[in-house]
Amino acid sequence: MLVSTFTLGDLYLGIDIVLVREINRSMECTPVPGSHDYIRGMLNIRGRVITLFDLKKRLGWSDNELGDGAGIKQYNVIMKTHSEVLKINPRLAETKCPWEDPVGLAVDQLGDVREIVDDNILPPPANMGGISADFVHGVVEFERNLLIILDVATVLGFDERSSG
Amino acid sequence: MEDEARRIAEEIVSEYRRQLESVRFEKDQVKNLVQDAIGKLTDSFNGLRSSSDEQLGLVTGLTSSMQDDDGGEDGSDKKINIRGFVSETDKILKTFVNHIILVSRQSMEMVHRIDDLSSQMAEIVELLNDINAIAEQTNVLSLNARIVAARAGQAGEAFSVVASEVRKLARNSHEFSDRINGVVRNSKKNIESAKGIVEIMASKDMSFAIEAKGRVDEMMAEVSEIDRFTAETIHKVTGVADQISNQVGVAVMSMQFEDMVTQLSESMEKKIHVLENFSQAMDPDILFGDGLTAVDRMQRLEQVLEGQRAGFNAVDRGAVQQSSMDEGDIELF
Repeated sequence: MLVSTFTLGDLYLGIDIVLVREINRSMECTPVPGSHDYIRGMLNIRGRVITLFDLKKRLGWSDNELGDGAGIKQYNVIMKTHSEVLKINPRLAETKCPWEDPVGLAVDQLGDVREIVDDNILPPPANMGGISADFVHGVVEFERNLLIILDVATVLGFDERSSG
Repeated sequence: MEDEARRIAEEIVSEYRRQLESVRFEKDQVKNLVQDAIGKLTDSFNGLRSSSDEQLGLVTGLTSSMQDDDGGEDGSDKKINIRGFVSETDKILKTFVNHIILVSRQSMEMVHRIDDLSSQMAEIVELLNDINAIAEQTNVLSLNARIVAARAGQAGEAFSVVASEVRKLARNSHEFSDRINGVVRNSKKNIESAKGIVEIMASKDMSFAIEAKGRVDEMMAEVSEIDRFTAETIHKVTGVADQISNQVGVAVMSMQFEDMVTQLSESMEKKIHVLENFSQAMDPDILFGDGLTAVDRMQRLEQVLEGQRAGFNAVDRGAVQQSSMDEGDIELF
């Protein structure tokens, strides 16, 4: 499968490219009062209102790990919705893309698009820093880097029960 | 007895003549000695005068070479005197200092130019940042293109290749601008150090040059003073040489007493001649001649005396009456 990669601090993360709708440079967003702290706010991209997740906060990073934050240029990875994925890959839509609302994830640096052989995907190792195993679909050793493939549904708050 | 008296008288006459001859000889000797000495003295004084003139000429030449700055200004006269040397050195030094001040001013100008260059470098860095931003946008664009291609599945594969090529381009241009950035940063560092050097040059050299000019000015003033003193002394020496020349002139003029000596000598010669005649008074014929009475003898002697007197008077009248060389206050020897 093709994986769109990016970095979050020292983490090298990847998302199945079929789930990605587009990538933007970060822009001003409108905060949502009373929401979770990992909800950065609402974005309006070409008329669509998108809920933007702060991925670092969602992964439970402390303020120390978050760093200064200000001045660091970030990117928004906008996800496809369930119905959009359904048109391309119905099986994937059913198993991995339960959400119907347009959402996006704020990440640090953009990487490349990587071709991953499915057999090479390993289960998440124990004692992995910076990210809970719940959010990890699997890991791939890649040029001495460990590429962590995100389980986006879990990240967005859909657990196995609702998706299954 | 008479013969004996006659013999004695003759002896007296011959002795008298012999002595006169001796006087004449000595007189001639005096005359020759004086003539000889005067000749030598005149030569010597003339030599002294010409030496003095020569000395005066030399000193005058020296004075004129030291003071001659009125005529030598037009450059046709290549001779350099001390005053000219001092003013020429002063002129050269002034030019030199002005040059250094000019260089210093230009260095300051250069510092400003370098500042301009520095800010332009900063602009280049900014432009490179813009290029980086474009590269980054291109990168985002290519990623999005890959995403769209992935959606199209098999059909999008060709488009995916184009998208990854675009991404490569973006990465290349990013690298390229990074390299330019590195070069610009180095240039900026070099420019800063050049600016430092030029600043030191601009501030330091001028003070040194002005100090040096002050020192040389002082020395030139001293040289000028020495020169003035020397010129004054030479002027005095010229005056003394003039006096010597005048006095030698007077001395040479005074040598004319030779003429007087010659005249006196001639007069002496005449007197000796007359005295020779005076020996006739002792003529034995008159004193002891036969056939002469005492009265006759007396008369003859009277005649001889008269003739002699007349001769002396004639000589006295022709002789030079001057007894000294006084013409002014000059004393001979």
